[in-house]
Amino acid sequence: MRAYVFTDKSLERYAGRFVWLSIDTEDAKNTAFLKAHPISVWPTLLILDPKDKVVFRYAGGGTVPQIRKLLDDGERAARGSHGKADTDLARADALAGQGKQAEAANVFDEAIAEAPKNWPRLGRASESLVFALLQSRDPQRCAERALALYPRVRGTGSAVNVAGTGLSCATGLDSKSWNRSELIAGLEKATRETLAAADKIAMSADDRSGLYESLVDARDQAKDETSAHKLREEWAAFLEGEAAKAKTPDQRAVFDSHRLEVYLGLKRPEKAIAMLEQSERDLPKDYNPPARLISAYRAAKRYDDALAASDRALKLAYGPRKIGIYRNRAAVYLAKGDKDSARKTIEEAIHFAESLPTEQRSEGMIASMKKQLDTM
Amino acid sequence: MKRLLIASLLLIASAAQAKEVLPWIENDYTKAIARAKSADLPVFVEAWAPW
Repeated sequence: MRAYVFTDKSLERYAGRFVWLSIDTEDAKNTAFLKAHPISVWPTLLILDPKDKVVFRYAGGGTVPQIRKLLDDGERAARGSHGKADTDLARADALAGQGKQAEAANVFDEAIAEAPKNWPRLGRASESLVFALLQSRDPQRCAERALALYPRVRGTGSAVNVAGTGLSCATGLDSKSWNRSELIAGLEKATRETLAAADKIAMSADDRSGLYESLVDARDQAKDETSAHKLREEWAAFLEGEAAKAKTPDQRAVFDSHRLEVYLGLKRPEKAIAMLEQSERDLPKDYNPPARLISAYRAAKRYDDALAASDRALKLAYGPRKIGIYRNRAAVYLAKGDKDSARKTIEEAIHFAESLPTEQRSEGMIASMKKQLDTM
Repeated sequence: MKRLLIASLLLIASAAQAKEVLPWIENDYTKAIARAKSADLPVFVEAWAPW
């Protein structure tokens, strides 16, 4: 966002109206912040009042007009809210900020129920509700509320997250859900409609890519290979166009993770390898290109190249992200048939995960790796 | 949508340019809250990860 959004001159008028804090959640220096304000979606935008209380929370990025609206809303919330819906919205944001997602979802729903006609914060409240339900692992209600709210946010920037996240929740439902098919069908239609309106809606390239991803997931789940393949081709063409428009290697690399995913899905790892090798040459201090190359080389069965890429990535990486690199390295050893090295790598990953500060440490991740060791 | 992650990648692209428009405090929570208290201003936080 800082390359494309926060450099926009129209934001200059907000410079003196906030204190601007940038937090890299992977950096161990930020554990005090993470203890006070747990983060589980990246990026998360927060507005704190001068007493450090969350008055506004938004999970996700946005375009310049969306950020201007968020800043206006956030400033208003920091000054104190007015109607009941605004009061509830601020309370729900604070609960989400404390990691109490299920409680936050209930209060977001109350705010929406009490909203006056043409309430300007309906879109953000709807997005926040759907995210809170996703994070509180309630995919049934997440999909149902997304489908119900979609007509009220159709054609706005909020439709992107309501439809796309709702669809992800719906495809995550198990077969016991009585209306799973109906929810998927309704939300796929909403997501397709939103994607088709991309040029009219203020939508960033990553939002658009996210919609493709949700649609591809839904077709994969339905085992509809033909439609999934067609969507992936369309998604790849869109990403190549965006990457070609980038003015710097940094801007182009923003699309690397999307392009890797789509090319692995299309079973064309060689396309991903070429662009990632280029990014690694252009951005030699960034751990992301070699970290992503591990998956691309593995898919191409170039195991020794994958292991060499993991060495380079581990040298550059820091924070919890290193765990994923270790796990990917272990997967390469397994693919190569070297169980002993895979096991040793997972042991190293566990040791590293246990050494992280509490705020960055994930007990779930550690338990999952220990379980993985038992099966090796 | 997992794609939320990508927006954070944009952050690392050109921090220097950003400083021309907005006066970011980098990774210093204590300093930001102290400044907010003394100036009676809200704090805008962007929490991101270099993925």
